[in-house]
Amino acid sequence: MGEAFRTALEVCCGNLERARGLVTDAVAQLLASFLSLRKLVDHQHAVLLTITDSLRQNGKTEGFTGATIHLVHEFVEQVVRVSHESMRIIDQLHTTGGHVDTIVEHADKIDDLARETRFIAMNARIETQRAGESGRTFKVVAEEVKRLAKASSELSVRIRREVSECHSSLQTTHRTAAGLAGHDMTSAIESRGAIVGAIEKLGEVNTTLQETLVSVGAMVDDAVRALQFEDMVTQLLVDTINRLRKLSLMSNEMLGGSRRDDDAQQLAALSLELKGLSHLGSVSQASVDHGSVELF
Amino acid sequence: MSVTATQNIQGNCVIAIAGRFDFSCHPEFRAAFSALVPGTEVVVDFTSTTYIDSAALGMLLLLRDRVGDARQIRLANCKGQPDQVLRIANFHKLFRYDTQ
Repeated sequence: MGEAFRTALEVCCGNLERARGLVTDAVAQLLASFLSLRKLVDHQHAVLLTITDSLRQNGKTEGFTGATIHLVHEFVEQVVRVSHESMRIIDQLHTTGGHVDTIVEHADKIDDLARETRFIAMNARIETQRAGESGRTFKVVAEEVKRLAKASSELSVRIRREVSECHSSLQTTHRTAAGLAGHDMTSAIESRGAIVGAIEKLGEVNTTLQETLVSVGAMVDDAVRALQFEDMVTQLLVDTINRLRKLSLMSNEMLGGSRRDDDAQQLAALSLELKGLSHLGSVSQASVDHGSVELF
Repeated sequence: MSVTATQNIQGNCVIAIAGRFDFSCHPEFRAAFSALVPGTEVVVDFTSTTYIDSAALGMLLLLRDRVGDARQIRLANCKGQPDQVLRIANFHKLFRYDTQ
């Protein structure tokens, strides 16, 4: 029976030793994992802070938000500048068009003059025929006047042709300038709205993420602190193992059948040692909630 | 679209644009301000304007070139899309400006 009691105590001791080893290993691994997690959380937090800084107006440096909106404004400014210049060109084209119309009016007058000159030349020819021999020299003049009228008409045709070319060039330039001047501005309004909206949303997400990361960080800290109680657990286990070992020795003495006085003295000494253990390595903490780890 | 030029009781020129104020308004808009002499006060009335494009902004700048000073021009009764475009182009700061 004594042997069975001692064996049971030894098994208990062995189990407790293994438990202590397992707890120590597990806690070491957990600590390493939590510390890595803490590092990652800190890194993520730092990255998020750089995003927040770049989104905000950071001192004199313009933030991402400001820079993007500034870009939209610059784009709009460019569009307005191009429209203004194009409208100026179109205005100028209208004035030039007016001058070209005046040239056409002058060509009309040249046509009128040519028609009248031709009519005079024809009358002169009739008169020279009527005058007979004496009108022969006038016939030459009349022919010359007719030739001049024809030349005037041809000149008028050339002017009209040139004016027509000029008109079509003006129209092409007008169309090009019109294409540059007229742009729909709705996209600029929508882009600005979309950018501001997206940046605001990004800011909200960023804030939420930062809050979450701060919470995760705090939780990891709590977990690491809680894991430090492993020392206490180990201490308790060691204490229990020591007691069991003493108990085993005592049982050996008690159940060994010896009734000698020195045996009785040895038993009393072991009992005292066991009592002494109550004051050694005692862990007063009953729960991890009670605060920080007490070092002993 | 139609552009009408009238004179108000203060003797200022009032140019009102009904419907879309875009490139197609140019001949009428040009006619409305071509007779103006520099220094005249002008009111551009946007009460019935439903839409403007960048050509309209260019024309307003032509009007300013004609009058000589943007502060002589009041953009009146701006609302909706025209108000948004005029603001994004900063015309509410450049010209005298009022909304409906």
